[in-house]
Amino acid sequence: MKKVVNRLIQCILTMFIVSILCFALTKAAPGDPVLTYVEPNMSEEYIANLRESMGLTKPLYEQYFIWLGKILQGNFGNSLMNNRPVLTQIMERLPATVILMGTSMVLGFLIAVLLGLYSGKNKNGVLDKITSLFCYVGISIPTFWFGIMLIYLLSVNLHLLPSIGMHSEGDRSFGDLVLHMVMPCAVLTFANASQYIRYLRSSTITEMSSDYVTVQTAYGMKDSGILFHHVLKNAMLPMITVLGMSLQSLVSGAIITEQVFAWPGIGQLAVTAVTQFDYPLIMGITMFTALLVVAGNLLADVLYAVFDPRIRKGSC
Amino acid sequence: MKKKVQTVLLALAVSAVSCTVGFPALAEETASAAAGGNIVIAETADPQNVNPLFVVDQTSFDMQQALYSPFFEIVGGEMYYENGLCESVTVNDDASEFTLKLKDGLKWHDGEAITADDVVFTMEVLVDESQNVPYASYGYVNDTPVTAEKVDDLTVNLKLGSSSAGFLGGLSQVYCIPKHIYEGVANIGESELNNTPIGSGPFKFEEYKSGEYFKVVRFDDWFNPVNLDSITYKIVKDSSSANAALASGDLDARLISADDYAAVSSYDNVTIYSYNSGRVNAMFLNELNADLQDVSVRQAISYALNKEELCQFAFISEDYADPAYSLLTPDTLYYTEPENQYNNDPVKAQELLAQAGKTDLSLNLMYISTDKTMESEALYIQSSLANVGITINLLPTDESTFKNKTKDPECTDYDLVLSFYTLGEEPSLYADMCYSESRSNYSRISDADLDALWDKANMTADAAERGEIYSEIQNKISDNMYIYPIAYSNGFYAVNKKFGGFEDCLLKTIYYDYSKIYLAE
Repeated sequence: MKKVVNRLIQCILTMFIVSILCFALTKAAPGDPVLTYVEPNMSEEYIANLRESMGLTKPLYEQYFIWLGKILQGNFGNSLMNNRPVLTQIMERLPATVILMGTSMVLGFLIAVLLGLYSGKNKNGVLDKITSLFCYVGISIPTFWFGIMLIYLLSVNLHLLPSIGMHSEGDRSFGDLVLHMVMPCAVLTFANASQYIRYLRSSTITEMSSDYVTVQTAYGMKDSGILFHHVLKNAMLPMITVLGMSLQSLVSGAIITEQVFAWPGIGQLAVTAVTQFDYPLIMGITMFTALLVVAGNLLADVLYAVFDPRIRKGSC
Repeated sequence: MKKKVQTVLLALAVSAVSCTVGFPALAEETASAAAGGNIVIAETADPQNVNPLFVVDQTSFDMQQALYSPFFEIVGGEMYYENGLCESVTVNDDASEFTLKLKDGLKWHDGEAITADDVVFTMEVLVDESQNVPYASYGYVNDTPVTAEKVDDLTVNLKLGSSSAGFLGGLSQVYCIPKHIYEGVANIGESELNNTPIGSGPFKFEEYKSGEYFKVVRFDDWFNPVNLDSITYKIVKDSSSANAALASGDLDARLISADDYAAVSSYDNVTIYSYNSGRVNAMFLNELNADLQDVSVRQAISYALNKEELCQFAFISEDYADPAYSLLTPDTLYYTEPENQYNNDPVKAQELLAQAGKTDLSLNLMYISTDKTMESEALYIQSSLANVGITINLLPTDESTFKNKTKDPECTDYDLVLSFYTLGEEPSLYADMCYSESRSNYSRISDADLDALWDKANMTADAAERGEIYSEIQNKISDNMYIYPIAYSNGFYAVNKKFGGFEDCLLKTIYYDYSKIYLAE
């Protein structure tokens, strides 16, 4: 319990440092955010008013504490682009990103467990070689290219799936959502699974040479039993770290995939915020993502303890 | 004695070249139309604010034209009332008083009547400093706000501080907003009321899903027939995906660039409409750079470039753009080709540089990194200027930083900058690009004589005299090589063949009339 409390304190401290960095880096970015909104016909007075209304005339430290104080109350400010609350916009986009990223992470994980375990067990076998090829292609292939190719094949040529968006016009049913998800999810799952398989295969190979596997085999335990009841649990440890680090992508989204499939998630919102230099939105998304990274690490630590009794008992 | 402005503008337009909307042979209209239907039009970003007095982004501007009707438009130098709220506009002899007569029976989307009170309210908001309207300058003449007086329910009298022949050009870009919605709102630009707009256009607001779409449906009480049931503006940022969606039929229409033309024209289900976009691509020469303050250096740069070759290189085909020689577009009133066209002459360029003592120049050329046309322009310019001994350092810049730098009047990070502008047919609006204190004066020109000419032209009512002044302005800009115009580029609208009416929709440069689009049977 004490360890968990200590980790929580570390998390709070990390978030505080992240908030300073996030604020400082945004302020240090080249250009004047006000000028982004200046149009030829705007008067100097208008621009001065705009600067003041954006709170940019105050000292930097004051701006930071005002911003931090608001964030602690759940107020991320309003977007400079459309004057809508940042939090509202993040929340509007969050479900789309979570459903896409969550599904692809889960599918990627399941595929990785199956292929990673069997590849590791049958090192240099036919399945292992096919799986390795699958991974090399998945890691190397650019997602935007793969996405566009899928669109041309399945939408333009075969007319099997909708090419872009999350829903068809006037149809917000679950079935329609699934149809729209197939291609972006396939692209992300392919990339995720390729990465996860490499980790699981590697740790499975290590575990397969362990004494406990030899003992279980000697006792006549079936291969599948050894793999899923013993090896998987130990081979999962590096995967927990990878998954923990990936948790932030549930919020930050897959920017390129969202762009290619016009998926209305946070990734697209982040791109727009950056290109428009909408710094309240940039900082809002960054803080949200940072929170998830910290939470992911915390969760990974907890899961380590669950999977590895040595950590739980403090022997490691 | 008052007379119809239409007559005045017809006279003013003697020397003007009519707006041309060119369509390929493919774009022949389908014979018959079916009522109803929905068209899905691609947009590259979410709208920021569709209130027409506060629109500053292209997406909102596109949607605003479905939601709001202008007072009138100026097409080919003539007053055009068909899509407008006004039935007529009359002007007094010295162009200091304009009378707007509204059409009878106009309605807002919530059913309220559109009256003179709305026009007066709009004009008051326009010049209300506390409202910070970006287009406020259209409500001022010689720094004096225009005053609006209601004559009767359908008539409004606008009084200007002094004569302004160019006033209507600005007014054609002002859209009426409903008084009963916005009266008493302290900050209209930031009001949440803008998220559920009540407009006057052929389509009314239905729904907006952030990152997905903005939907409008037919307004049955609009003063002209509207063919479609609805329009869905779908947000698609990636152009390759948008092209694929066009091919698959998930999108029905989108603006495409010259780079996309070849790919999209191969789609069986799509027709490409080519139209005069009113856009001028140009290179600005920053006079905050001491070397560029010398007119010989600026002229040398112009002589070193082969404009026809530059257009061919940047726009892929000469069908996509014409070489530009004036600050104004050919369909702008009083457009004249400047006498000095700086035909390519590298020897003369080198002589001018030697004469100026600048034989070892190094200049920074800034452009938007994601704009392929600009990138091609930059590469060509770099190569051509190297031939006369000028080193060009390319500064590809993201759009946000580009805007920041060009709008900063003291920015010296760039010496040359590639940009473009679309300002319509009223010549006085082009002053923005080179008037001393204007923020769009990317060349940072400071020429009191030129400023005086712009002012004088705007206050001159006599057509012939006004034409002479604008001719002088165009020659002066060219002689001093303040701005190097590159091309008048065409716009391309790729549309699914099941839709018709785009010839009428794209009736003039930057405006669309969505009511004309129909689903072909």
